[in-house]
Amino acid sequence: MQEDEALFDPAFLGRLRVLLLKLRKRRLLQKRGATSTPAAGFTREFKDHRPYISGDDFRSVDWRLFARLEKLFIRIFEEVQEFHLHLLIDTSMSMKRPHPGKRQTALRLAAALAHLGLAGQHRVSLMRLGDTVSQLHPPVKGQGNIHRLLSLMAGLEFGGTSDFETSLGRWRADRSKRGMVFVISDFFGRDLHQAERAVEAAGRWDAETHFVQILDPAEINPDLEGEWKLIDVETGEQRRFFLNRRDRDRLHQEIESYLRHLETSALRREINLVRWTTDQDFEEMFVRLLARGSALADSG
Amino acid sequence: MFFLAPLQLFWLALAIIPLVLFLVFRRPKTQEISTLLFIKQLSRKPQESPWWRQLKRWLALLLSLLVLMLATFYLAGLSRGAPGQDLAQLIWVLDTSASMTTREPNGSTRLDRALEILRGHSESIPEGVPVTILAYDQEVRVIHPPGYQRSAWIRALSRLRPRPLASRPEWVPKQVIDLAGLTRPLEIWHFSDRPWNLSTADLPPDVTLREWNLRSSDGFNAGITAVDFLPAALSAGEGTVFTQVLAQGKSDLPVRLSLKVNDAFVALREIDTRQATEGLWVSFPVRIKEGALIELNLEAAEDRMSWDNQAWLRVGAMRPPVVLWVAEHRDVFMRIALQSFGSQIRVLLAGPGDSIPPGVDVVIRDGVAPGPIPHPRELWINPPPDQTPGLSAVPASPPALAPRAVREGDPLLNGLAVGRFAPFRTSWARPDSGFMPVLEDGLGALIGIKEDEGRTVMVWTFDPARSGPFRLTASFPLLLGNTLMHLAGTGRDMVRVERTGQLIRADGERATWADGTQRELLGGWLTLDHLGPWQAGNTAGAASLLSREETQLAAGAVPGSAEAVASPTWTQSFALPGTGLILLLSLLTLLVLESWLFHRRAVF
Repeated sequence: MQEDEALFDPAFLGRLRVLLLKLRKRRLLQKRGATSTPAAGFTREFKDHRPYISGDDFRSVDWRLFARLEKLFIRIFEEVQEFHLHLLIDTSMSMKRPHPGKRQTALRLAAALAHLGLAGQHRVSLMRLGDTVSQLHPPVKGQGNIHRLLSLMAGLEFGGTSDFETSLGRWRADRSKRGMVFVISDFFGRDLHQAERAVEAAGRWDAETHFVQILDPAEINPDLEGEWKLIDVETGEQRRFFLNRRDRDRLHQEIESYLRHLETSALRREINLVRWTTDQDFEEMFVRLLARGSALADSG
Repeated sequence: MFFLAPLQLFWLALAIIPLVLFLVFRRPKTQEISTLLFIKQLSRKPQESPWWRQLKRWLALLLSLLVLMLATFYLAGLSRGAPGQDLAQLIWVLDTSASMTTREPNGSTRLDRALEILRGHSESIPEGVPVTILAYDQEVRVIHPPGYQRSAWIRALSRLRPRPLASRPEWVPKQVIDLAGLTRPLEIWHFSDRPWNLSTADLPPDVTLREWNLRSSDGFNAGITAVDFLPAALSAGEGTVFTQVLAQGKSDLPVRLSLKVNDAFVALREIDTRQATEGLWVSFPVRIKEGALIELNLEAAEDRMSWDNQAWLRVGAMRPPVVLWVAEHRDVFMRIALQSFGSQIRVLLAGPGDSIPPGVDVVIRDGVAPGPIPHPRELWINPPPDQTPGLSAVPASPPALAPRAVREGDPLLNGLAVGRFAPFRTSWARPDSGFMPVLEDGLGALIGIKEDEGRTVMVWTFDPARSGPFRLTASFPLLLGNTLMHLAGTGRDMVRVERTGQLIRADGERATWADGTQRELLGGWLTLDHLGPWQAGNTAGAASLLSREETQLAAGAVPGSAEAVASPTWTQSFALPGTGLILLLSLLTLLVLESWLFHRRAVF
């Protein structure tokens, strides 16, 4: 639990609040409503007038203005959208070992996103991603639920394998799940094509989808020169390898090629894929993530 | 199986390294990894089971040890068979005489072949056996004293050169065994074109002789085997050059013999090789002056040895020979014959009991027994058989056969009408007397010549006075003149036939040959081991090979000699040369196998 305490320590929560203030300030500078959209809706929030056009609803005519100006104007009201924020956290063993920083980064990112969502009066759902997708709680709304979500995250067990193809393929972003989806994972599946097929499945969702790939720097450029006995933390498979300098470079190239291929595949399906290494500054990466076309950045 | 260099087995201690590596350092580092997918992508090799990995680990160790073992065995000279006797010494004896320069059909000489064989076998000599290298022709030379270093043997062999000398194998084996006999058991390897053919009984105990007969089965060679100059008995400044040409082997092409005097071409003869199989005498009448150099050149197609194709004669001071005529009763025809030579021969007279004055070149003992003090050159005319060693009285009824010349064109019989010669024999030379017949009838030599310990004796076993009209014909002074000139010619400076290998008294400190070769004189003596005209101070001469044996050896096999000696084969008491190759191939195979098993892919 010491690890979990470190996960959401007061310092992190403090930094999270500062981060949200920064986002709010940026939103105000943009002079746009936090939840406003170009569309006109039926909420109580008045937005603007426009001349009456034949066919408009008479109930929307501003009769007071007609009394003063003797012209018909229609009152326009703000349409406030409510998102459903889905946070899918990969809980396979590779997210915890041998690089525990991945788990910490994933959970902190999920916490930040949940906090942002709750602050924006959106519904937030937390789900674990393994061989299947399982929802950890009913969707919650309101800032008061942040501690509940943090508690859930802190108690999240990591282990087992991940099967993106099956889990994300079956998980349908149906009508109730419309909104925004953040999939936080390292995308190391059972084979090298699983992640691509998961991206393909996610491309069919109606929701705005973000894939956040959490990686340790050592995973991108492993220093494995010499003779090694390597253990796959998910499958427990053990194998002995002898890698020389050339093999090490080839390995690095293979990983880079895989990552680039995955990014290209996501981009083709209009999915935002962010590579997030654990040695990068959290706040900077978080802002960069939201800046990449996320509507969540304008909420809260 | 045994090792030629067992000391090299210490390299086996290096096996500790792979063993230590196997026991200590072959523990791979263990690390957890998020996924093996990428590394598997590098290695397409199927997943190996743990037992196979373990087996491969043991196999790798085994192969490493095997590689080390094979390399060590190669260095240590692993050899098949038994190491033979506990040899104390190995002696390589090489014939470096002239015939060893004979070129075989493949272009290499017989000596080259011998060196090639020795280099091939030098690696298989067991360590600890000293090798001595001897070479011989007219003398036995130590080329390399007993030594253990192979590189020194090879260096000594590479310095070995043949010499234009005739070999004298009759006393070489004994000298070799005497030289090396102190250290036994020993093995002698003899390389020559004339095997010694010694039986086991001829060898001392603990001495093994292995011979390589380097003579091939066929081939042609022509050479000059003898040369002489005979001044004309009755004509000053003129004479005849006699030369013998020997042609052995099959060849239908003629041989050309040319003669030059002072480098000026004088005569050319074509010789039918079929007539020269036993030696053909060829004569050239020449006019010469003092100091002239006579050069004979033989040109023959497909000739296999060049050193016997030239011969030289240097004409010295034209001093008339001094002849001492010892007789009790001086025959008038003899007196007339001697007087007919005029100033060409100076004649002194003496009785049987008189001493021989100094400066005499030839002593004629006419009808008297040989004196108590022998002279180096003597002519015995009709000696009393009962007082002359080697002669006996003529039997009562001697076989009646006409006299005939033993060799056609013999210079001694030059101008003699043998067919009209009716000698009256008074004695005969017994077979053990040593006289070689020049003119013979059914009872042996009528004119015989004997060379014994530097002394030349010629005998006439007939009485000229009772030989019909012989004394009245020109044949008598001609035969007498030929005989005296021949005997005097070998002993005075006028014409000196020099064979290589001779010791010559000369002036100065060194002798210089026409091609620039120089030899130091030792105490005024010069060993002629180089062909051609030479000059040393005021002395001049010309050395020629002139060896019937060497010329014959250079040709193909001679029935009864070379053919009878099968090429000996080494009985392989030492290592086979192929063992090293087998070891090297095995080593290479193991290295390839290990590479294929364990290193064919960088990742496994």
